[in-house]
Formats: sequence, C-alpha cells, structure tokens
Amino acid sequence: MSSTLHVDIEKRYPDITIRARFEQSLAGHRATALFGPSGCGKTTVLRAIAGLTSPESGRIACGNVYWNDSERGAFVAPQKREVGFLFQEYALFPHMSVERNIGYGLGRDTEAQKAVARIIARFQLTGLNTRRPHELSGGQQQRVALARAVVRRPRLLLLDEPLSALDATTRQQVRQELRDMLALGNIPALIVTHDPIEAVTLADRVIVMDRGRILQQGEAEYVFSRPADLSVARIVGVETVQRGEVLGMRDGLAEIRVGASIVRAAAREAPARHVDVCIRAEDVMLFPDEPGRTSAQNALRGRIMDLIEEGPLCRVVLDCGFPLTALISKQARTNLALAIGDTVTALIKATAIHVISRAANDPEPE
Amino acid sequence: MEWQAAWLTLRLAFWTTVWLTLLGIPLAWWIATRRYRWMFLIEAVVALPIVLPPTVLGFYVLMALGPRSPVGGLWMDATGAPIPFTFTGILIGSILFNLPFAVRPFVAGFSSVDRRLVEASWSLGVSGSRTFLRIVLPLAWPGILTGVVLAFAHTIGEFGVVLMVGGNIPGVTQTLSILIYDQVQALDYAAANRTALAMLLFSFTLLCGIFAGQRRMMPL
Repeated sequence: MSSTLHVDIEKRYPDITIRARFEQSLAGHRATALFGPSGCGKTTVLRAIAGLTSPESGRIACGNVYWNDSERGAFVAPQKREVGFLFQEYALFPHMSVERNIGYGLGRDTEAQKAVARIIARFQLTGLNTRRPHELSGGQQQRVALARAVVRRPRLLLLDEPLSALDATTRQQVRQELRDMLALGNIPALIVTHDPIEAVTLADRVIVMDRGRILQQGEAEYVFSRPADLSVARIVGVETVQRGEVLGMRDGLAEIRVGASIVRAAAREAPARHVDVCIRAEDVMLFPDEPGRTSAQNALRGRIMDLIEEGPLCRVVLDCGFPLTALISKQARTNLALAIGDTVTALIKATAIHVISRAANDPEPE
Repeated sequence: MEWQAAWLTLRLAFWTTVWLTLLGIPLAWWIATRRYRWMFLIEAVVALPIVLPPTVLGFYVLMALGPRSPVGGLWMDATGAPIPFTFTGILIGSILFNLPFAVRPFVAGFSSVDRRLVEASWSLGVSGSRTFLRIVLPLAWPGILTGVVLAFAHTIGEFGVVLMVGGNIPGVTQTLSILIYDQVQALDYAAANRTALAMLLFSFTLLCGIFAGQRRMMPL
C-alpha cells in the first residue's frame, strides 16, 4: 500500500476556479496546513478529498486507488474513503449522547464499545459519556468531534477551521490541546485555516492558497520566513514589506536602499536590482539608545509613530526612513517607557531580512 | 347513520394519511435536498390544492378517473368497477387534495436538518439510507408528525372533492361533512348540530394536541 495522497484537481464556480496540486504523506502524523484568506478555495479542496464535492476535472489518488478521476469517470463514495472529517462547527449529532456520537461509525459489538471507552479516556472525556452536545463547552465539543473522527482509525484526518467556533481565550488553550491530540491520534492531518498562528502551531508543512491557486508550499517555518512572492508575504502576515533598490553585494550581504535608509540582507546570490524587502515584526529588537557593539548588521534609528496594544503584546510602528513594525511584549514597552515620538534604535539581523527579486514593472506593495 | 359516516370518515382519513406518508416522505426529501432550476414548478404543483377550489380539483379527478378516461378504463377492465362514486375514488381525490398539507411540513422538517450532519454521517462510513434513518428522520420528526396530523385532520373535514368524486352514497362515500350538508338540506338542524359539534370538538382537540406537542419538542 503506497502511502501518499495525490491531489490534482480543478473545480469551477461562477466567480472562481480552484486549482490545487499537491501531495500529502499518509505515514506518521505529519500535518499540513491549507492556509489562505477566506474564500480562497481551501475548504473546497478539503471537501473534494472527502468526496463531499466533485471536481470538474483532475484526479485524487490514495496510493494507487483513484478516489476521483475525471477521465475514467471514477468516483469513490465518501463512506469508502477512510478519511475523518472535522467540520467547522463540529457537526455533532444533537440527538445523541457523547458516547453514541463517538461510536456512531462503529458497530454495536463489544469490540466497538471497548474502542469508544478507550478513546473517551484518552481524549479526557470521562464522565461526559451521557451528555448531549449542547451540554458541552466548545473545547469539549471539539474533543468529541475529533474522537469520533479518530476512533475509526482513518488514513487521513481533514480538519476544516478546527478552532474557528471557539472564542479567543478558549482558542489559545485548545490550540495546544489539539496539537497534542493530533500527535496522540498518530494520524496524518490536513488542516484548513486562515490563521497564521494556527498554521504554524498545528502543521509541519504549509500550502498557501489565494484566489483558488496554490502560491507556495513547503516547511511551515520556511514558508513563513521566506515567502516566495509579495502575495504570499501579504497572506502570511509579514508586517513590513518595502520596495528597495540593490546597491551592490559586499561580503555576501546585499546592500539595499529602502526609503531613506540602507539595510543589509543575507542573500545567497545577487538579487535583481529592484526587490521587495520583507521583515517580520518579531525579528525586530528595540533599544532606547545606541546599542553599542552587536552582531546584528542593521541598527536603524527611528521615531515611534504608533503603539498598538494587542493582548500581552505591543506593536510598535517606527519611521526609520521607511515604515518598520516591531512586535514586543507589553512588559518590554513598560520597561523601556516607550511613547509616541520617542527615538529608538531598531536592530535586525541580516538573516532576518528576506529579499524577493521583482521585475521592474511589478506593482507597488500594498 | 352518523356512526356509519364517522367510521367511513376515519377510514378515509387513515388511508389518506398512510398513502401520503409513504408518497410524501420521498417527495419531500427530494424537494428539500435537490437544487434544480425548475424545482419551483414541482413546489407550485404540490401547493396547488391549497388555493384551488375543491370542486375544480374534484372535477379534474372525476374526468381523469372516469370509465371513459385511459386510467379509468384500465381500472374498469381490471376490477370490473368504475373509480368514481367508490371508496377508492374518494381516497385518490383525498390523497391529491391533501398533498400540500403533508408534504409542506415534511419539507420544512427535512430542510431544518443541517446538511453537515448528513455529510458527517457519510464521512463516518454510514450509508445514505442508514443516515436517513438514524440522522434525518429523528431530527425532522416534528415536521413529519405535523404533516401526518394535518393530513389526517384535514381529510376529516373534507367536502368538495369527496362530493365531486364520490357523490353522497351512505356507507360508501358519505363522510361526516357530507352528512351535515345532507342533514341541513333535510332541515334536520338538531342532527346537523350534533354532527357539527362533534367535528368541531374533534378538530380542536387534535390541533391542541399538535401545538402542545410542538412546544414540548421545541421549547421556546
């Protein structure tokens, strides 16, 4: 049994055509995030894999079995695909208890009952056996839905925005829990999400989608720090994306004029003359004065234009000859007594600056 | 006389309800789940008896089932009896006339079932028919029950169609509502009053039962 899912499909809607081509390993518990803004076609891809919607053309193959093949007219019913689907609002059966929800896809024999009992204990649902879904908290509902999908030992789990039904506080707590549960289930997963934090926390690989197309796929860490183009940089939420002009290469570093400043970025090969410079806010360190000697290649003096508090964090918008965003903790802001109008130094390592070459006629970044 | 008419009326209501449940559930499921462009035509045809005068429907049923019609002719050859002015005749008329009263609540019941629950069941390896029995029917139950009770209650009070298709034959086609008409024509107001009051109480009790049941099933 080959252990790879091959997806190469096209699904047409009046306002959007969705094309997706990727592979997902079915060995171990590796998770992939289908990541992109809402309406970009992620959920459609997931539903096509589950057999809940049929693509107009292309094929979906699990090992050497074709689940969909538009040329041969092959279609395997959703019941026979051995995938577990976690719906956005969980789709628990409201008229059944926790126990009956979880055991729904199994028989009624003792073996099935044992499997249900085991998974109830493992997913920390003990004591809730006879409750109905509406008597559970959001996090508990999610665990029941996941237990129901996992108990049949599917070959692949499909999760559609698994945390979107929860409020912000619960989401943070459940995110970690879900990651542990996925590892516990030891089943590979494909997770649809529009939240970059969810993508990074839950998945090893990321497939970035926008307007029906796959823009980039690769290891999560890599995609988020090295977006392939401007659209990906925007979707993965790189805070600072600025147009720059490469002045030259020196000691393996590219010297780039950005606005009124010059930054130095690590580049394996010389980029084109016109580039986009991407800097993630969490890679920017702030010093109240001149920092003295450091290993960082960029020390930019700038004025604080804005301070935006976001929960325990604070977003600092600087004018360093170009607008630069830094993300620091609220505690750090208090310690440094930062205020709008102050002048600070922003430190950025050359390796934290990602450079995307662009054609001369590319549009301005937004 | 009255007991005979009451028994006939109950028999008619019972068999109408049985047939409407058997025919109406698949039809309603089809209407509730398919997205054809011409579905509004089907819905309009199903709803027609609500606005159509019973005499109009009765007239067409009479024409369609009479011994000279293709259907009526075949039936005559097979059974040796005509359809009009028999119990079978009023049963067919009654089924057609009560179609919307059963099918529309059924459709409402099925439409209230979240599509994702059905898909979740499929994804858990459960077949379409078993999903219908284990998920759809239990969740659409209030709508199904309303349709069944409405069809039954509405058949009890039927007049126009029965009169057109069945005439007024005691023991064969004379239902309670036709009996009342007969009693008033004969100026026997005391008897008419008895029959009418019995029907009023019966219908009222039935409706009370429906609404009380609905409130218990779907607390406000």
